[in-house]
Amino acid sequence: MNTLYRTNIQMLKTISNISNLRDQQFMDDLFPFYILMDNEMRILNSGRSMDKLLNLKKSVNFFKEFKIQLPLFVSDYTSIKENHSSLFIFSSINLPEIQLRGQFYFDKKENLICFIGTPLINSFNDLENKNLQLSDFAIHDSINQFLFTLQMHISSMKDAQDLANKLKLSVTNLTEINDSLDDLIYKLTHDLRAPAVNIKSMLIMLSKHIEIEKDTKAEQLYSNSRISTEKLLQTIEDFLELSRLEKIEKRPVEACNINGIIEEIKNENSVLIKSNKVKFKINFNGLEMVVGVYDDLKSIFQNLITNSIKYRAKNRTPKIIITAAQNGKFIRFSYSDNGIGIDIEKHRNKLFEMFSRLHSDSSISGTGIGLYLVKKLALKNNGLIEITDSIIDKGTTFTIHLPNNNQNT
Amino acid sequence: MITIDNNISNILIIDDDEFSRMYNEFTLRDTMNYKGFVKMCSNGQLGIDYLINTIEQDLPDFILLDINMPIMNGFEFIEEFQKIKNSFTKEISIFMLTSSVSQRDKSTINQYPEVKGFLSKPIDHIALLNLIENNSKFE
Repeated sequence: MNTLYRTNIQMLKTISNISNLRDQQFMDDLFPFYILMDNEMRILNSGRSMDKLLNLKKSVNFFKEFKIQLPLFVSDYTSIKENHSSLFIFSSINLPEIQLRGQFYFDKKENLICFIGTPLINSFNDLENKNLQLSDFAIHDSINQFLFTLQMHISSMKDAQDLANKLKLSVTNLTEINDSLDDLIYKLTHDLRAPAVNIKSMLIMLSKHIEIEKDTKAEQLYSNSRISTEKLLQTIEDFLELSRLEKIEKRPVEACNINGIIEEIKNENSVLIKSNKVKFKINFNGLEMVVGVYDDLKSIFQNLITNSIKYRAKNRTPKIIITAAQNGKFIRFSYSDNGIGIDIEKHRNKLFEMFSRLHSDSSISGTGIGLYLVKKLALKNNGLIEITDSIIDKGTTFTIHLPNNNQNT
Repeated sequence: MITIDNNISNILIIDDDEFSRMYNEFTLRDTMNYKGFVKMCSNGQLGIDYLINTIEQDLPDFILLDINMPIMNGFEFIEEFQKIKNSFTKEISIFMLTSSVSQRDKSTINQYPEVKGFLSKPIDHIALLNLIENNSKFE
């Protein structure tokens, strides 16, 4: 800064040599905030920008208009002359918020004193409040650099704000579209369910007549229709479950008893369990309380159990073993079956993906949503599910981590 | 042959879906060999009207009640049923017919002591038999 002021003084010296400090046009262009005074400190001229800032009357004494703050104890012509190479800061007496910073130049030949400097500006608002613009500053003024940077900063902030607003709007639109899509899927699957159930009902009724007629061709057609209807219904059920998950509907997070949940699933699926002679071996070691949304936790185990039955090995009694152990703030449930198993090395990454079906057997109805749903539900409830082990024709083991809610642990 | 309890001789089905009613009757008669009387109503209001205008001995042993129906749905039917049930000496059980029900719906329904169970559509005769067996009233 000091170097710059020295340069300004050099310029002024040169001007006084080739021209005259009284040349307003010339001075305005170079130092728009200058104040020219005679040797008694009476104001003779002032720059065009200074005139915008303050209404300085001609021939009024400088000390009637300004109060010098730096250097200290400077209050007359002599002391200004003694300190003229220092940096001066002074403020307007009428408008104390206006401060000026600069130096005084003494033109010995003409016996004149000239202040050259600029007002102190610390923000764009400040600039506007002082009724000034960037063009009011000299091109060589260092404040220009500062103000220019400030302007760039402000305009890029404005751009960023505009962009953020646009983004926010897009997110709102997308959320709306997403919500209405979820809603549509829910309504669609919900409305599809009733006629699909009816088709299944009518087919069951039809089968009675086919049995009586003993028409083998009709029996085959009935059986095919029945399989397709089961697949249709399963897909609808899975999509219903999935869209329930996506729905924003808040369901209470509470302490849930996993043992109770398993018993409820066993009761509700008693027909399926009895007809396949499924054996359960459950030992929670007293660790059966977890925190989560009841329906979600039930859905996790419901899916695992129906999968175990669906992918049972035909040559042995299906067995499901569920145990629990504590693992820090989580209960680690181990869920094993003795089903047909999965080629774990080949399918590990695909296992929990949507619509991935790993068994080529088309007689097993599946939509590839089940395990995807299970994974999503576990994550939603601050838990985790992973496949621990699976051996072809031996069985599969899953580990499910869920937040612990057992009092004495 | 699976047969329904012989003490059961009156059943009321309240469901707006014609095919669903047809199938429910089929399950009772053809699959469960039920020989008694079946009354069918297509909404809750008709069900209430029927109960009011039926003499005590012809009142149903249980009601198969659908949830979503026009005019008066399943929940509204239960509310109305609670108002009139004290005029009957016979205890009437209600089994809800549901397409997949959330736990919250179930908790709501469970607050009604008259509801003795749920059946998922299309109804399974073994599941219905289990409900009847687990219901002490029929023992």
